[in-house]
Amino acid sequence: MKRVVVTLVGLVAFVILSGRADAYPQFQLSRDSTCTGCHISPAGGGLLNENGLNTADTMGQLGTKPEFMYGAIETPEWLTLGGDLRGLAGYMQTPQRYLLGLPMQADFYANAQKDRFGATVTIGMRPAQVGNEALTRVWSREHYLTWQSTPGEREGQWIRAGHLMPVFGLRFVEHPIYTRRFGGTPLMSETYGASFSTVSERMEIHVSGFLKNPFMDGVAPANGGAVYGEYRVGERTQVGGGGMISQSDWDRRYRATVTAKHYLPTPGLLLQGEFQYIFAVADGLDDYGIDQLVGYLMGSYMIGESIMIDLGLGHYDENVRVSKVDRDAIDLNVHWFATSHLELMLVTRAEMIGFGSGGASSGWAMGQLHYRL
Amino acid sequence: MQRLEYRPRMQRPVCALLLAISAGGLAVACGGLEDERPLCTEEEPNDPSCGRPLTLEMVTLQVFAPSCGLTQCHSRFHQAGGLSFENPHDTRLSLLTPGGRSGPLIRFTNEQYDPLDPARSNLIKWLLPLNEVNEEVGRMPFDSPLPNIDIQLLEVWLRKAPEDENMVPIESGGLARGAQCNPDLYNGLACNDDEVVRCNEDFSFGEPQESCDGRGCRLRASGESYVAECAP
Repeated sequence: MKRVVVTLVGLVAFVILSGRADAYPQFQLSRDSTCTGCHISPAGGGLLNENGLNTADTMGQLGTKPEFMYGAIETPEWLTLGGDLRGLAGYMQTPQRYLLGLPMQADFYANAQKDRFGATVTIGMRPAQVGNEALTRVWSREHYLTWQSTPGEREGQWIRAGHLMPVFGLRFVEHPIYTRRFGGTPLMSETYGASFSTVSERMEIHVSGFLKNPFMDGVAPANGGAVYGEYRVGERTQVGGGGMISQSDWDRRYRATVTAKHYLPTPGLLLQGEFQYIFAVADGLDDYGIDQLVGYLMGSYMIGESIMIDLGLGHYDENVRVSKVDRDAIDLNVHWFATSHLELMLVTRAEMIGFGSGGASSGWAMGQLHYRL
Repeated sequence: MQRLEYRPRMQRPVCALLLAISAGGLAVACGGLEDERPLCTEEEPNDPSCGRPLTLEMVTLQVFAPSCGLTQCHSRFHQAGGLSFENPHDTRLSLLTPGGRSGPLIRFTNEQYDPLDPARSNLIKWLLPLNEVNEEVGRMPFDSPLPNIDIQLLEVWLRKAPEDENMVPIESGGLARGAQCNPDLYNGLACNDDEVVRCNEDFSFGEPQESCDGRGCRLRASGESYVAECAP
């Protein structure tokens, strides 16, 4: 029998699972109808508004003040501060076996609001660029100006311009989820651009234009645009769709996505899914275009107010004309919202290629700690 | 190709987990269901390229970028190990430039890489389950293995690489010379600008054998080998 090797990797900074916190799409429909119900940004993620803090307070099993630094640091009304810290440790088998421990995220947010105008800045750690470490350990993932038609309201219109993520698809927190990993919004792919959002109880539409970063090497640098919309059919069902075109120095990609959510109050189950079709063309491919499919289905079940179980199924076919290059993943994540600031997670994945006949299977089981300042 | 059919012991724990989650269709998926589909819908069902152009752009956009060029791995953004596979330009540099822990991933000398035996390249070794001391450590991609067909695609592409003008070796460290002129390959002939020349033992260009008179010199596949010749 071959020797079993377990490799201890003590502290591997920013590798496979390093990440950032976005919105929790699991809460939409089950908690509120729109991302703006809990977040300052119309796209969700980042800083919470007052209702978002109340929701965090309600969900935390052990009562703590939900405000920034437990309310110990008071800020003027026009200023909102926050942050997210994440770390992760666990077991990975791909098929070599590892024990991992790694920091994932250290982001600090600030939003200043004056009437209809606002400015948002995120400062945080990033994976340093090899050979350019001194200048790239810290960066600003987001910095943009906002105009909002109805300040403080969940409905209205927003115009944002600066360094931000185009709004596209379901926008899960977990970036290894296939629709993020292989879709149009990979980890840290924020870039310069502008976005218009209109949000109401019934529907929302987001239009984004983006440019490749002229100042630094960005993630998946490209110029392009994206449109994404969601329509809520009653209180418990939502459908969405959109498209994205991106042109890099090397290729042009067309993406189309459809999304859907449905909440079952009994037994308290939120079902959601996203399905993307991607078509890539490039010089050097002759007339051959690459057709890809990527999809994700997730069911989220709440146990009481503080424990959430996600079961997700992912599918990615890197070329629909070739068999045994498709992969499928099963994710089982358990979230415990211990306090309004502290979330503990168990994240697991099992992944197969060509239903086990196309390559080595892999998986991981890890514990994750998320602390919101 | 036998090693590519390696069935990891991971299967059983994975199956146990999957069965615990869903005993239905997933159990079937793990239970040894053979995928009987043809490899591709093109005319050559056993060709791992499946009609895909064997170009640097194809292997980059199809294999390297989505699996290796992730943000926190070999993206231009991070360049783990000093390598980037995010676009064809970076892929070429990362494959051919000496650097990193193991030297260039493909080096056109008969010490490490022979286009007729691409499995000897560091690139392919990194993608396979077992490293040189037979331990399951270091395989790339770190978190999610490549499909076997894609590894085979890379091997097929490496065999054709000498014909890909985008894969002309990079002059660096004296290594690329061997790629351009190797006395043990192609009957000891190689292209030097507009001439067919004989290769010296030290991989340097030797005596001219034929002048191409402005038509250009090329490497052309011929049977199991390549020949250096003037373009017609």
